[in-house]
Amino acid sequence: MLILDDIIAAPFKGLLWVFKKIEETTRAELEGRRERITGDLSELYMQLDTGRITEQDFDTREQVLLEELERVNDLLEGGAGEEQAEGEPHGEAGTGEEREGGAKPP
Amino acid sequence: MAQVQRQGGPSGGGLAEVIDLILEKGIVIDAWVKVSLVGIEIVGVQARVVIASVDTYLRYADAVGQTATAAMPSPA
Amino acid sequence: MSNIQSEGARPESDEPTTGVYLYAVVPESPSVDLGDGIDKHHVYTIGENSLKVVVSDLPVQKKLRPERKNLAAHQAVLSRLLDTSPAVLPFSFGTVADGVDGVKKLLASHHQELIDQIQQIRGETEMTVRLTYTAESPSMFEHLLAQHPELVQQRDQLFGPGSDATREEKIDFGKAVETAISNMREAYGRQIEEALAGHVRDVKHLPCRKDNELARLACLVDKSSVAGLEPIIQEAGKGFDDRFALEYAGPFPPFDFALLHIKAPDADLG
Repeated sequence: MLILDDIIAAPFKGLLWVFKKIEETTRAELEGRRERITGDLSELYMQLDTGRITEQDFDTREQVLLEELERVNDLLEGGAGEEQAEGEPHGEAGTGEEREGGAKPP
Repeated sequence: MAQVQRQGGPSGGGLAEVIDLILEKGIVIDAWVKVSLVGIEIVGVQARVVIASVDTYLRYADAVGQTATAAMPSPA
Repeated sequence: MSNIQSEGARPESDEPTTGVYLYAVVPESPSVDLGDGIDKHHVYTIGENSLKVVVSDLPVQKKLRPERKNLAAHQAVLSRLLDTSPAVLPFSFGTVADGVDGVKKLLASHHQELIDQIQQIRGETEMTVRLTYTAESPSMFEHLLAQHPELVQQRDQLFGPGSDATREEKIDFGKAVETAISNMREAYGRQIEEALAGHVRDVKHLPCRKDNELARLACLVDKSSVAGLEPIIQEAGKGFDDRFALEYAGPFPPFDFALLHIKAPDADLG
């Protein structure tokens, strides 16, 4: 986790460094959360495989986990877009030839 | 002796064991990159180090705290 | 959307919204029919001589959810590939290109890296091995304390009758517990790794995700060595008593040994 002491201890690194650190921390926490959700999904499959829960139970709980996962992934991808692209990250695909070769490395 | 068990059968058929591989590992392409695949780099990824959080520390402290109520054999 | 066709392609639609779902990179076209993949679309390959991408069409443009039927379809394709292909470099779930051209561009722009990676994993699979503490009594934390008398002392100071541990003290104690657990996991991980030595090509120790998980190993195993690994794992299990369980799974494509991230170059933040 990012601790205030880390920031205070590096007074000359500037704002960009701080923002980068915050972004890294947030990223690490989000990725940790994603791993936890994936682990829960894995457990869920195991419970289904061993007959501890019904298919219906599985479907219900699966939906909850998948929604959580989607939220985490959206947050992770949003962050990456801001860090690397100069403009909006492109969400849609397949809009034809004009897309090809359109992105330039920053 | 420990219970030794194969999960998911010989062809790895069950999903429980493979789900975290499929979701998190292998070749990962950043979402926004998929549209314009020119001028990008491919990088090897080091294994991520998991950072324990304050919540984890508190949880561990409480879990061990609870063992105080159970009878404990003195360590050899 | 270009109308360049690749060998064996049967695109379901000529509309611009047809995406291409990616399963894996392989060195050559599989000799067998790979059947159907996600949403029952036929699996085919795109590519040139030494590099092919295994794909299927995905007419719907919304994000694909990792729900059971999709994961099962994805895994089924990989499983068939693993049986028939000399090397399988898997994509993570949900990788979609905007069209056949996008896939060709991917291959062209990273040709050498992909060739190198394929070469590294030729003939290899992944087996996962997991050690868990299953006994309820003594609990895993009691098992830990039995190896760490100093933690017992701290515990009694903090949680003994009449004491009132502050949050800070608990956090510090929790850190000490976490360190002890980490060390214990490392030791068990090494123990298993040593038991497998000589039968696996490489081992990665993965982070444990649940409290009672004590070791998680990803093993790079020659396809020809997979069958012979089972008795070795059984033997490794003898190094643990009945409070533990040793589970293994696979073979899978070597996901943990082909971790590639295709990203944009880092923006220069100055």
